[in-house]
Amino acid sequence: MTQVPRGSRPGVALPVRIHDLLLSLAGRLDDDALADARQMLASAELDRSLEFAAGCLVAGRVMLTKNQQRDLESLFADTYLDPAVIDRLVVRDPAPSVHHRFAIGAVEGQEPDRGVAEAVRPVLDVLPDVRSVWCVWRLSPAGPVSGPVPHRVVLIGVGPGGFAPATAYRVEYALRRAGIRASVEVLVDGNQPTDYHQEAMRCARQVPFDEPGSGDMPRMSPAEPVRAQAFGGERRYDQPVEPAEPVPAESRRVLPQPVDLPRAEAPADLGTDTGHTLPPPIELPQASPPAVPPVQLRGGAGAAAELAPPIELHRADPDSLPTPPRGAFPPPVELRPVEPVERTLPPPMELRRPDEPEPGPGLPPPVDLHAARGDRTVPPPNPAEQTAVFAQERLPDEPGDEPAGLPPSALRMDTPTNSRPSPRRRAKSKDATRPRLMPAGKDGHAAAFGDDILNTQERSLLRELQDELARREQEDHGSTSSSTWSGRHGKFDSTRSSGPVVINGVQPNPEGRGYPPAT
Amino acid sequence: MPEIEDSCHELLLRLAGRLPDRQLWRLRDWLAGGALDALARALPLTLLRERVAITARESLLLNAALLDAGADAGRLHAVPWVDQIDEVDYTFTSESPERVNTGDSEAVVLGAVLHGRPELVDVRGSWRRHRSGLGPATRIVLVTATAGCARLTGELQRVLRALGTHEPGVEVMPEGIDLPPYHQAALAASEPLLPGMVVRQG
Repeated sequence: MTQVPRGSRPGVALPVRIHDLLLSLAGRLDDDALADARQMLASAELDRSLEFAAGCLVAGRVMLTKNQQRDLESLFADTYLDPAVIDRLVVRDPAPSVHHRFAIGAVEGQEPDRGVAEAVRPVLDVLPDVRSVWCVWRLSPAGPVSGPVPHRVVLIGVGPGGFAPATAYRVEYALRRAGIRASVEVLVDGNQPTDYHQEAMRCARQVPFDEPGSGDMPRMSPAEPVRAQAFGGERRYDQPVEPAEPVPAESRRVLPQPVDLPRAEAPADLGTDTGHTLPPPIELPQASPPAVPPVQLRGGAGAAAELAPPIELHRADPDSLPTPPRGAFPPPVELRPVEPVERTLPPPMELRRPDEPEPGPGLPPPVDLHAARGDRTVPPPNPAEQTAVFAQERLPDEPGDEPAGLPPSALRMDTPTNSRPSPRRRAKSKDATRPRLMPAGKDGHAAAFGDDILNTQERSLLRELQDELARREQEDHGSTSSSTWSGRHGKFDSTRSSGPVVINGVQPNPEGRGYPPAT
Repeated sequence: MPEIEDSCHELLLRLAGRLPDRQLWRLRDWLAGGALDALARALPLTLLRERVAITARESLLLNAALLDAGADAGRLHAVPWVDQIDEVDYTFTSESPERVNTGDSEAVVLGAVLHGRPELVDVRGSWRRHRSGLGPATRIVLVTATAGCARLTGELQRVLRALGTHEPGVEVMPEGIDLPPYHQAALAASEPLLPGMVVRQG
């Protein structure tokens, strides 16, 4: 809604000022005119609402006070309306008082609140900070084009968290749909009510619109500002209005939670978070985790046995790698052929059967979900190889660093767009001026994955995979948990037997020790 | 000025059945109250918002009535045209099935208000219902007069509102004009509203 915090009441939003002006015209304009103007106001048609009210005032020769005229002129100026319409307003100060009569109780056998609670309850459930509802019959006509009398007037008290224009319109609309004609006057707690509203409140009857027992609550009058307990204190939106103890803004703020991408996007063919075990057909070959038979690498692994710890999440630095004996090893580039069985994974998380053929060369980067959970099936690679693997795993920093034609991977997802999703990875743009999606992280870890292509979720996924990989490496040295866990995220499965199970192809410890929760 | 008022009244008369009653009666009340400048600003915008197209004749009336009164020329020219209005979304009957056994207090009051007015030619009543059959029947008061049509419209509207009709349907037709289909259909299914009232036969 348009907010113009200037004019004669700086800081007060235009809709609120117009609503206040319409409140001051209650009893002088006909009820339908006020309802229509409030409907336009709630629909963000501020200028139309003002022109409509001005037209009714001019046509009906309604007398205004100088303050009202000034307010109207100010509002016309703030909404860039032609003030010629209001030049012919009848102004007299003090304006002759308009005394209205209101009925106490029923009129012609009909209570003023009959059917109101049922009609407005659904609306009040969603409107914020509505504190009280009152009903009264007005016996005298309002405005030069008055409708029939008695006329029902519904007074609503809202707190500072409420929206008076929206509340007035929506409650009036709900009543009309229920076949109840009424004027809805919304009074904000703390504002000075007009004589019209004070007189109406003197005769009004409170409507218990909340729970059945709310009728026993102390009465509050919007015409006599109440700041104590909110009406319908059990309503969920009453609490933030006047909290007993102000909560620091920092503590109320919802901090962004790390995106749990791998859990949310778990492929259906894997064990899911629900604790299902992996389907037997795709159970990986059994291998004893600690003592895995070494894989004969093309480059000869023996010389690399003294190298750095296996998990290196940094870019491979060729200079830091041990220099192989001259002539005994192929150049480092040819060490890569680690090309483990797990490299073929177009569906990134898909586990491969043992009898599946080895993928061809030039396939996706080594670090992926296969590497995360397939490390039990193959012997731990040579540290130098691992270094090379993670060197491959790092995301390219410079344009053109990434090899083209990569298969789809959860780790290398394209930046999501609103366009038609493509199952294939698009060729990376060579344009080095492509805007960054995320600011580069300051820590080295983030810098290692500071590619523009990765968004926060992808980085989170990558980070989680690496953590899990490190965790699995630690598991090789023995697990201590005795609970029953299953699923790719280690969720507890109460339906499973308490005996040892195979997780990701890893046989349980012969001593009966289980696996620690991979939280 | 009377010519402008007459043009504007004829324009609003021709918009019966095409603009919502809630807006039409208000615009006619403004005209009756002399708020032509407010009407000049509101009517073009209302036509645009309600997607109401006008005929060439109505466009002439619109320009003649509202351009000098402050209407936005851009909005006036934006109102789309239509060749002719030959469909009416309502059906008319002379009797309301909902008021068979009730007293007609509106007719009593209207008779008292209109008694002795020399400009009146005829006063009839009809009941309008939407073609879809939804909604209640609405009374349409059909008055033929020789002068002061806009003012008489406002007056009768106020009377009907005071009697409980929030959106009154009052059609005061200048004598001798070419009536649009809406009014022709309403007159065809109308009956004298004030049987004992002597009006001038035109």
